[in-house]
Amino acid sequence: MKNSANGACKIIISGPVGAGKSTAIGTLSDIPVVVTKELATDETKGMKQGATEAMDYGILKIPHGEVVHLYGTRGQERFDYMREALAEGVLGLILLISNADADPFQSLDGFLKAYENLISRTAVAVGITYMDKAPMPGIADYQKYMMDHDLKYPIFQVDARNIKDLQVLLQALLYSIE
Amino acid sequence: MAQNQRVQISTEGLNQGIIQILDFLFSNSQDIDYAKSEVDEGDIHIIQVHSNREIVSLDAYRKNHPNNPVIAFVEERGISAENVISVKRPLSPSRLKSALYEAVEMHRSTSPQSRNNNDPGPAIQPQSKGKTSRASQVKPGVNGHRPFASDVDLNAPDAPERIFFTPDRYLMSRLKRTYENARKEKTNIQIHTKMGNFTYLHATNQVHLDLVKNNLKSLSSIPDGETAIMIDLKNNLDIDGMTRHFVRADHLLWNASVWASRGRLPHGTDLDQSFMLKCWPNFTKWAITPSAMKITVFWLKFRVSLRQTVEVLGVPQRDIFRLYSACEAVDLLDFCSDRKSSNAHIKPTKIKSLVGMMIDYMKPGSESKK
Repeated sequence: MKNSANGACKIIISGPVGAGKSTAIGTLSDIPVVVTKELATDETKGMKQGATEAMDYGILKIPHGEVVHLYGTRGQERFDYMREALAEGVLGLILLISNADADPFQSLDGFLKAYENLISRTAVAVGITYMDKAPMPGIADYQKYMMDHDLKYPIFQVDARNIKDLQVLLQALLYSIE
Repeated sequence: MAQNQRVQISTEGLNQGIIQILDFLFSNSQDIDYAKSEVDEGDIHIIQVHSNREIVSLDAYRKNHPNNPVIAFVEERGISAENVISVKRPLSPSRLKSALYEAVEMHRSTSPQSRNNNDPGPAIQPQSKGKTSRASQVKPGVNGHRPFASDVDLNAPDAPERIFFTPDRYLMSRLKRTYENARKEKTNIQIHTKMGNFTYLHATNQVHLDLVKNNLKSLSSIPDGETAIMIDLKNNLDIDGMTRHFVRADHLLWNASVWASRGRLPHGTDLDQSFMLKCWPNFTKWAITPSAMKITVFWLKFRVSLRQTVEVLGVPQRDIFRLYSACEAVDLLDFCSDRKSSNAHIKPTKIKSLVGMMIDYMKPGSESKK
């Protein structure tokens, strides 16, 4: 489990632009989060103001001096190489998908495929955000998606600002790790 | 309740206001044969917790009466221990009623043999002011394979009486039938109860609740003899005019099932029928039952029966049954056509030490900096 000189582990939080990754890390982190946001100049400019230009980073401190590093990866496709670099020594992956997107299932499918190798070695838990603003598709539709694809990953409705939602999601991820 | 249950309730030490509420609610009850008693004679003990002194007193009571349910009125933090039902202040008749019914069901589900078992579990730790309730949480079952005090011997001839309940008598079945009929007829259906109304909207798969929020648990956990539920068909509802409280239909059904079950199984459940879970329940919004995640991972990984789950998993039987009842209500169970399980090496997932620490840290009620 321990993968770095100081014995800490890491969890990657990934997902498309605007899904709530930065917010989620900010909610979970026990230190001020390192967040870099600049005005987007690429294809995301029309989607979201201040799209993240670099990784978000936070720390989760757990008893007995253990530390878990939280890394929020980029949503844009041109930074795919960063996912590979981060994948080393990962405890698990949290995937956030915005239900307000035009096609959240396409996003979900794309990210599950992109992280296929990592998921096969570790575990993933999926959080669906913005369901309060965009109630459809519902969780039952996502559960059906999982069943149709013979996947048994945790998939929950989450609010990235809600610590309890994220803790439950993280717990499910941890229980899924073998 | 299927039959009258004579229940003696210890009321020593309770203030007169609470005793009056109990008298008002139950002295003419058709379901519970209510009688007050001294502390050591009651089947159910009610205690008001103001300080650590009462916690110590409660612990002493549990040592002498390990299987008697206890209802504890608490200020802020609940007490997590075997057979202890916490009721937070401010008290209300509906909360007290719901807690007492739950306690009566616990009492009924305990066999005479297990009442002689003098193992109440670890002592409840006194609470520190300002701290979370983690210090007062009692972990049930040091050895995962030892039966818990509340477990029923599934091979006993009277086991069915104690582990089964009839869903048709509870709100959960009304909801399920309402959803089915509304979807079939493509209409909106309203359920009327004494404590408020539910309106199912088939277009959005949501339910509008027109009732006091705290009544929902009471309404779900009390058999319909007390609530006189009837169903009306409504069309052309003024949805825009409805005040806010909407919940998703599956969320409501799940919670209603958990509260109706109280650690029991629907009548007719085959303890030896193999099954798996189809997918994870939505635990961020649906009520998480104790040990739910551990059981969920187990049921996702293995095709097992309920009997095997109880034998292998090392969690209280009622936690398993409660989760099963809820999963069945929302159609998350996949039953094998082959009755016998084919898993040769069934065992629960071993949680590695760092992951185990994180899981404990993440649990509700654990000390958190947030």
